[in-house]
Amino acid sequence: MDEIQTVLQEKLTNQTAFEIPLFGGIPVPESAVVSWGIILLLTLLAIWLTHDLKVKAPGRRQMVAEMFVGLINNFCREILGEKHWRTFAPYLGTVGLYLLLANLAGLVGLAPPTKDLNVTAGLAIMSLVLIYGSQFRYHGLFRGLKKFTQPSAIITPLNVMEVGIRPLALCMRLFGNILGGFIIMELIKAVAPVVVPIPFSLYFDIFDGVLQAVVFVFLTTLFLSESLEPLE
Amino acid sequence: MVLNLNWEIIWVFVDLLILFLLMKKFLFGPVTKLLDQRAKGVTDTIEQAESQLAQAQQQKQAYTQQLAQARGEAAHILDQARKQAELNYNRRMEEAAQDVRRLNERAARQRQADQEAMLAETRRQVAGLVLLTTAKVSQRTLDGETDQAMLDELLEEVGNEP
Repeated sequence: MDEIQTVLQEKLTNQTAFEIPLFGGIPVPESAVVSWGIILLLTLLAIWLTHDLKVKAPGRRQMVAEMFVGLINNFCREILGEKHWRTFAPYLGTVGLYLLLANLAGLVGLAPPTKDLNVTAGLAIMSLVLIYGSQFRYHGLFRGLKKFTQPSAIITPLNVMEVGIRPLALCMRLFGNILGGFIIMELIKAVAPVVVPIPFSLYFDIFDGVLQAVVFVFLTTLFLSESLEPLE
Repeated sequence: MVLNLNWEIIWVFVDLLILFLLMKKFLFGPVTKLLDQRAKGVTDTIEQAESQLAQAQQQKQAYTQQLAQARGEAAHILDQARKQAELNYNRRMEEAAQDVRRLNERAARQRQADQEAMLAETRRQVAGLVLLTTAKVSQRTLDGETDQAMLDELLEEVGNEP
């Protein structure tokens, strides 16, 4: 039992992959290295998928790219409306792709970057900046503030508290799910390393990973649409 | 430590921004542009087709109208020609009838004149014959105006008797 605990502790610690020998050493966490891998993979994939686009008679590669971008675009258009979807669709799509690959990294034996609290907190803070940044960007300072009193002045405190609650919820939901899945998978692997982990991996790595990516993007888009709604 | 929230969070911002720019440049930008182009192409094609259809219908209407007009004109011309022909025919017939009547009249007059001439000749010959006969009968020559006048009177009486 102690042995498992030690192994688990070891696995759960966020490793520093290496240090950049500048300014007395900048540590690079493991999650950042995996993220770089994801960035590289996605970029190469994107270039490969879209390297010769045709308006007429698209190839199979182009169909895949069109399908994915069309999915994100339609999703954003439905929630954010015709006026704003072009601004936000690329960012939301990027987050979706990143989270999808980050959550599924466990499948190829890498530590999912999303089990690092820094990563989910970073993503949540970016969503926060996006949501409230757009609120002030599109309504102006005064009307942006007034937005907190909508739909009724009595819930203003709740709206203000949501500034902290929303990113915290986004961050913790993602982190908790992925970390929980990761711990359970590690425990199963420690107890029964062969065959048994496969069905559990299907649920904890694939299903939960995809679900959490979708939930994160969906909630961010939903909060964003609330912020963008015109004042009453 | 599991819950380690520290300055390494900066890596996330940097990585995600880089990924965002790359994805915008290589995936979302070009593909969205392409989808827009395609949508625009479809809209354009439909609009073009609709305008062409409208034009075709307009032309068809114009042609139909022209055809009807031409048909009307043709009928009119035909009608006129028929009337003209009828008129000509009637005139010719009238002329012919007149000719026939005139010819008939002339022939009738001629006939009558001939008849009269013949009658006069016959009368003259008969008178001569009678004269001759009478002269023979009376064994004397009849001459002179008195004889002739007497003969004429006789012939007049004979001629008048039925």
